[in-house]
Amino acid sequence: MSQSVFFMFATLPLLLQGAVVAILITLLSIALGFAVGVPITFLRIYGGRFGKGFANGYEWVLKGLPVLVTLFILYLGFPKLGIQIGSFAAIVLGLGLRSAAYQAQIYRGAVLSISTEQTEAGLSLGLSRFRTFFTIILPQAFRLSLPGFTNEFTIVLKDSPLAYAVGIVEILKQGRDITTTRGHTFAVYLACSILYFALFQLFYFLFQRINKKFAIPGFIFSK
Amino acid sequence: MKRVPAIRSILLLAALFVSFSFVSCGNSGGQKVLRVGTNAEYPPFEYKSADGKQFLGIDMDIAREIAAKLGYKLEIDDVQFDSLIPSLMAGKFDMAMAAITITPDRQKQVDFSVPYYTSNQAILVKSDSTLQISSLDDLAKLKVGCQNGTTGQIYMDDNLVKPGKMKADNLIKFPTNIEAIAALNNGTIDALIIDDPVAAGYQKMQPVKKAFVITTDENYGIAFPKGSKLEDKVNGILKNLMASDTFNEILHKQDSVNLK
Repeated sequence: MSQSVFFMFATLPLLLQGAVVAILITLLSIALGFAVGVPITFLRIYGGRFGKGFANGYEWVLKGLPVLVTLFILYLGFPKLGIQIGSFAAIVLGLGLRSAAYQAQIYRGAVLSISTEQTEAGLSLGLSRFRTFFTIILPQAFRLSLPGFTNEFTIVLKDSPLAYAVGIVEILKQGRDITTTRGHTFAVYLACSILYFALFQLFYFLFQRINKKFAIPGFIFSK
Repeated sequence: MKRVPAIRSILLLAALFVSFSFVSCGNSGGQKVLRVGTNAEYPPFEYKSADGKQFLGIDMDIAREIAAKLGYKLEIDDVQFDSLIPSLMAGKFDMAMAAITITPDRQKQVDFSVPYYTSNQAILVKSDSTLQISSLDDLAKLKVGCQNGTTGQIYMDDNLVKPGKMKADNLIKFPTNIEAIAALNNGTIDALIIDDPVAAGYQKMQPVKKAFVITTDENYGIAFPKGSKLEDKVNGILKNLMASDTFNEILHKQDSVNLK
């Protein structure tokens, strides 16, 4: 038993190296999800028939696919079409494009939960539609989307071990490489789970702080 | 309006991150690279060093010799075993070395080098097990684990499951040997079918023992994508290497390695 506990500590340096990769995958995927998700949000709300249809279709497809399948299609399937995607790019694209679908949903919900009276009030004050959105709707929607965003961030973090399927050495793969030659299956996976949990708590705490900082005092949903 | 710049900087950061992710997958020029795919969860043929930095094992040493003779820089890609041939066909690497048995089915998809190692299938049980296995019929009554996509799995399917001698539910297919060995140790499965030299490797590392050997005389080969230009060159190098003392050294280096 004490030997196993010692072994858990001995694996830490390797697992921490993996943690850096896991964090990088998560940050890049979330960033890609943001970069794609925001335009999708706008298309769904303001896009007209074609734009709405496209955004709807995007969400419908990406939300309906397991990331592992998307990952294999990108990594092993696309080369058949002459498009080579590296393993790191494949996992970031796989996680990021799915995250875009969910992030779009989060932002859309946040924007739509600001009552139309506020837009009307802005317009009646003589602000343009554009300014009404950026100065009245967006600051509130940003705050409202934070809890959902926190959730999405941690989900992407916890899906990052899928990267091991295409040979990226993140936390889980580091752990597996250790067990291959040295056994201690339980100790190693326990160490992995503690590390994932610690990362989860770290980011959760960070987002809670941001949440608190940007909370709207006395805000209540209208209607 | 304080918030707008904050949002702008977040957007900028996002754009930066995304552009980085695409730059990082680009290839740098310079020396020619030999990209070798493997599944480094298979001692003594391929596994990682304790510090996680190096690929070790018989196949890896052979790959290093081949790269040196070609004058290429060696780059090893570690993917799952059942993804190796699809990855090869998708052009992810130039060749695959992972104790891959040459089989007619695989030959339909990829080309193989000359054989460089001959192996059989072994049955592993827990070291304190009292199971007596002396024939395939004995094996058919047990819960047997295997790694999906390996010749062990194919052997069990072709000789026991398909002829109806064994219940399909009793052959449990794991994605990798890591799960299979763990399941054996936990008692989830009674026995595990695995390449003989790998069984010998695990016997040194884990509380398991060989209970039975099925003579299959399988040959390991290096796999290439169909029509590979490297194939002839590598075959020449491999033949020379096998006739040299270096090859014996590579094979016997692993005998003395204490994997724990």
